[in-house]
Amino acid sequence: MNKSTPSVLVVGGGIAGMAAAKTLDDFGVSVHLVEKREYLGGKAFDWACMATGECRNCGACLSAELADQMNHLKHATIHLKSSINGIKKNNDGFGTTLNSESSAVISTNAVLLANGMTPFDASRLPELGYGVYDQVITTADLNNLLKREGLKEILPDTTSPAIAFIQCVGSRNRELCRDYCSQVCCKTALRQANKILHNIPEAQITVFHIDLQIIGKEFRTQAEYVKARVNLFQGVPAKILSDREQGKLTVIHEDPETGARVARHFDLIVLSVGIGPSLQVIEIAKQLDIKPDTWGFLSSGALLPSGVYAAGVTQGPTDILTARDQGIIAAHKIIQDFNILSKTKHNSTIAVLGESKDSGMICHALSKEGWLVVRLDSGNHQAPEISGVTSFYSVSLRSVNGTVGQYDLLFTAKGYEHNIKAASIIVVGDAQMVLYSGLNDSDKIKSLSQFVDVFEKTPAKVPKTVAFWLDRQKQEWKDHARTCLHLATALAEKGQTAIVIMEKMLVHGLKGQKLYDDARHKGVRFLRVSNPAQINVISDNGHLVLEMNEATLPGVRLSAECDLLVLPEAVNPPASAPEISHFLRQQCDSEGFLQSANVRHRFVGSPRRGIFFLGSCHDETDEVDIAREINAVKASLEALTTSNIRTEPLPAINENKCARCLTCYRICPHAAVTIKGNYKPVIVTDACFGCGICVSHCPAEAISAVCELDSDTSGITASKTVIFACERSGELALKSAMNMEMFSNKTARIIKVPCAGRIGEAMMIQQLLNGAKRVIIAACHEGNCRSVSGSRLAAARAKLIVEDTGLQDNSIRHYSVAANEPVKIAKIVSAADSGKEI
Amino acid sequence: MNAKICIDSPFLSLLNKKDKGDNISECMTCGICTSRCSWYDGEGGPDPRQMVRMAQLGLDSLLAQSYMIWDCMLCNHCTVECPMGIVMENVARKARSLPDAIERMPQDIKNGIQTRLETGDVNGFTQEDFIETIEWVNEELCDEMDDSKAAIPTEQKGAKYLYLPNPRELGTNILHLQAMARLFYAFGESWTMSSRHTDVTNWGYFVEDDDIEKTMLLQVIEAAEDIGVENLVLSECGHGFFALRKRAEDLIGRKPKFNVLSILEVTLDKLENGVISLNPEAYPYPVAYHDPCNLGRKSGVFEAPRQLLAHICKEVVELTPNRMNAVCCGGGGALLQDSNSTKRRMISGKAKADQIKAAGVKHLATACLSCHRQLTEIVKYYELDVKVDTVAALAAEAIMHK
Ligand code: SF4
Ligand code: SF4
Ligand code: SF4
Ligand code: SF4
Ligand code: SF4
Repeated sequence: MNKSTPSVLVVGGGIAGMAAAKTLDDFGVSVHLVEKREYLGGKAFDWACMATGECRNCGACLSAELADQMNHLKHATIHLKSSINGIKKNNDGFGTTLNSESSAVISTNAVLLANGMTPFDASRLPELGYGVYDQVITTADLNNLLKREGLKEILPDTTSPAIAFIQCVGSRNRELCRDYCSQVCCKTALRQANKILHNIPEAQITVFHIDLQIIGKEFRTQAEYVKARVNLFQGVPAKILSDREQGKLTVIHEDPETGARVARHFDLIVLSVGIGPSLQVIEIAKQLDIKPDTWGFLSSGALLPSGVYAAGVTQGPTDILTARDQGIIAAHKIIQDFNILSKTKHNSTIAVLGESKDSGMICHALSKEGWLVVRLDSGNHQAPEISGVTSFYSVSLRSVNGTVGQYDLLFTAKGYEHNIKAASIIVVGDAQMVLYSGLNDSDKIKSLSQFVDVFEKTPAKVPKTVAFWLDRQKQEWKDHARTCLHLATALAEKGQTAIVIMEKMLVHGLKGQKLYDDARHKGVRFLRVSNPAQINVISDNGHLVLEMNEATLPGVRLSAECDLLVLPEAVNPPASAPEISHFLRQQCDSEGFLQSANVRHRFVGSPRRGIFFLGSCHDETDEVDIAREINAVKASLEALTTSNIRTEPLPAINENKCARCLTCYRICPHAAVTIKGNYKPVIVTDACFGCGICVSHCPAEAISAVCELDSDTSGITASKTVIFACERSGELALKSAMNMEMFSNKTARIIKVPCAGRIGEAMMIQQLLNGAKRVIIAACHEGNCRSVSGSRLAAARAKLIVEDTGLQDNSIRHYSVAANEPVKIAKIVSAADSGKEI
Repeated sequence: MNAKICIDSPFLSLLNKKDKGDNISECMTCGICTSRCSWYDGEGGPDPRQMVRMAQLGLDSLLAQSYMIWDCMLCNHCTVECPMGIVMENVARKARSLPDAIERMPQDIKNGIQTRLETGDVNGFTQEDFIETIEWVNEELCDEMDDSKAAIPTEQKGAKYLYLPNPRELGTNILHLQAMARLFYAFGESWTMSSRHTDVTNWGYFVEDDDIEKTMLLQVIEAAEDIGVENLVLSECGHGFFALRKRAEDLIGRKPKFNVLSILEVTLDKLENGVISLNPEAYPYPVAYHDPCNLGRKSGVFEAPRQLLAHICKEVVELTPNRMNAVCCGGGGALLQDSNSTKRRMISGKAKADQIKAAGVKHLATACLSCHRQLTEIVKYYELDVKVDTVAALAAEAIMHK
């Protein structure tokens, strides 16, 4: 640590600000965290859990968890109910006064602006009737209803209410000076639709959209599931009428079959309002002499003076998970810029695994910062040497043992066996690019990479008219969609003709919409096709003719002529994914890409310390994502080596009791148990998460407990309810229920556990023996458990006990409760009190 | 139906040129316009996005043969919120100039244009007709006012105001002309009408033949310049006002040598300057106001008629929505001028009728004689017990003579 630790003012106690504050605090940097509300957490804190039997990966609950962690920061001062009064740059940093405290000037070396977001004010579009009709609400309003479980209050008394979502309200609109995609609202709407369907299975849900933005592994696979259960219509109604007679809301829409304008009636219409920067940013930017971009974001285009950083929606529209990542990355950048990291300390080796163009980038980035990098490339194309990087080619893994700080990799390279030790492993395998199939006319059809080659090397050979066909087999990989957009625009600029066939245009990133607008402006023709199977490709007289049913012109069989058809490659998980996931003991996601979609480890991490994923091996990533992921990996690596202070209680194996059954080795979700010598399991402290799953599973009871509360009978309340609450979910929900006065800890006894997987059968039964009438296990939703299987294991155990013993069904029961579900947990407890079932 | 995309169709070459409103290449198929067309969900009616898309993809003949371009009321209600700032009338109206479209031009419109180009008046009103009519009106006026000075002056060179009537005022709605004359009489300043100057309308605008529209504009402008007036005062006519006030300078390539004013603006000015006074009790009940699309949304005149109305009635009731978002009466874009469209006009006017009904008033005012006629017809058709008048006519009734 540097002698002169700097201090940082973090403006905004939302997810980005909190993540940054936590990271800075971990590195001993003193932080002033300024939040205008009376509690931390930001907008995400208000957001309802979207789980429907399983976690839907929205990330909102992480805000509650981070807010709780803020109470334990060591070097932070938190200023609640405060906002910036004045901020001035001076010689060695910034002087800030807050509106809340007298005239004391807070001096810091750096300022991180994480002011959060402002939702679009839907009443600016009067024809939508927001504020006029009670049944027109925004996604934010719907969220509040879902959060307090009050949706039914505004729906008519029917089992199948008709509900519509209208996308892009206040986004993607040049006339409103908001010509950017807000990035989050498609995800929000589909998740909310799914949640409604979970609560009201027969609800009739319609989503009117322009181009659904289904991006990112957290969302992609679920989206297919939701899409199958809602009506999707392309085209967003901009006028809502009330139908007095029917008591419904009416919108007019083009029938995709007949092409006629038809009226559709709804009981509730939800406006997917876009997001913009917080208004306070403008004020602060003025004082710091920063020019925000045209939309008011401090995007990369808006050059920030030294010492000023931005994260979260302040720098562009982002979802919760990205905002968290940006907070961590910004904090890491501050740490770097202020030389808090010593340059010499990295003598640990990082292994970079997989064949990929991206591996060069990460190797370079790491070696530049003094890490020793070993590149294990499964391909045999020798890449240019990078100083400080040792490369092996034609690598084939044999085994991976050990834990963080001391991974042991055995592999062959060009036929020879090698063995290296590495502190961390970064997997950078490439996804497989599969050439188009089913079409024959090889000289007039090219894959995207073939076309890029021609375009770059022999532009004169690019014919007059080029058609790009996206979304042919499934939704286009976002990087391919973007590349086609760039190429089509470039062709149009040169006076050639570019046609893009698509189901929808992905407009990811802050500039995505502008690129799309620009392409149309320059004359690229976009054709929407909702059913690619109806496209005919005919060879005709030296041309190709594409015949299709274009979605905006129902009833017209449209044909387009081109000289060359470009078909982007289909993208499949890397061929090595099964093997790597096996060696690293890591799950793949449901599409077969590496890394599970669990938000607690996204974007680059894993349940196993020191194992990271980067690039297309685990998700669709473009240049911007890769750059962010590299930074995120770097930040995580620093965190692993620098702030290695473990405070939580960790288990240890009592050698004398251990039966060498190796249950712990098999069951540890974090692979923190290694085997030494003669089948002797050892828990590696650095790798252990302290979940206690091994403790509750060891048949010999040889592992010391992480929490010792089994036999304590004190505090059994009159209602005789005991709640085992996961400290990351149920317990946080109970805390906020208490704050909201929906629950009192006098009603039930709460036993906080590090993970529900810690709760053994004996612990559960013991509570009944101690006089409890009912045991509730409040733990993470499936897919959200940090220890992967902890919550699931507890649920199975509870069920088993009840079944085996013939106890009453509700005497021991597991509930999935996220940290942001106080209403749900309060209802569960009060139902228990009254003997009712939820 | 089969159609082939054309990248450089003749129609496309007409568009995307002007900096405002016909940038159809930029349409991102958001569908906003489709949901907003004033036709609502009646059968028939145009689908604005389809029109834009046909134009954008170079499907000229499909577009030109479509009923949509003639059904479109050119009201721009659909594109008020177009995220790309596309203005619908610039697409639909221009499409009417495509050869296939001209063939399909309603016969009434064809005839009207021809007559106007030949005679200077859409109904072929001759100088004799004019003199005869004015004489008749003057008799009435002088009787009524008991003042020979109440007569309409004609062919007065150098008059301060030249009044340009709607042809209907010299035919079926002569009462309106009398009312306007009473207003001028009350202003007490020199004014005139002219036999060369009987038609404020400009059907060239409806068919987007810039040449026709320009010729018609010049018929009016040059005549007025000959007479040497200071101000040309237009009768309440939405598209006539839009053409003369907003488009003329561009089309004829110069500023006319006079000011173009609406009778409403002049009346309001006289009222505010104390030249005339209007009876605040004239209509002691609420009156609703309909924004003509051409006057309001397209020309930006929203307040003058409301202010004038506010002086003479108990309360100006707004139809919802109004102003920029006002709904077309259902007779715009030459629909009213086509005698074959009467049935369709009752459908396209349903939205307006619903609005009027919801407003719950007994009296409705507007500031365009075309709207006035359409409103009168839909009110009757939908059996609403509502009287329809123009604002200027109501003002004329409310004049208090000193
Ligand atoms: S558990 Fe957390 S991440 Fe999962 S849906 Fe609920 S709030 Fe979102
Ligand atoms: S397309 Fe973009 S702006 Fe529109 S709703 Fe989806 S995420 Fe939001
Ligand atoms: S406590 Fe959890 S992470 Fe630690 S060794 Fe046991 S099972 Fe593994
Ligand atoms: S009638 Fe009016 S609203 Fe309908 S398409 Fe034409 S301009 Fe648009
Ligand atoms: S509102 Fe504008 S951008 Fe949207 S479909 Fe209509 S013309 Fe195209």
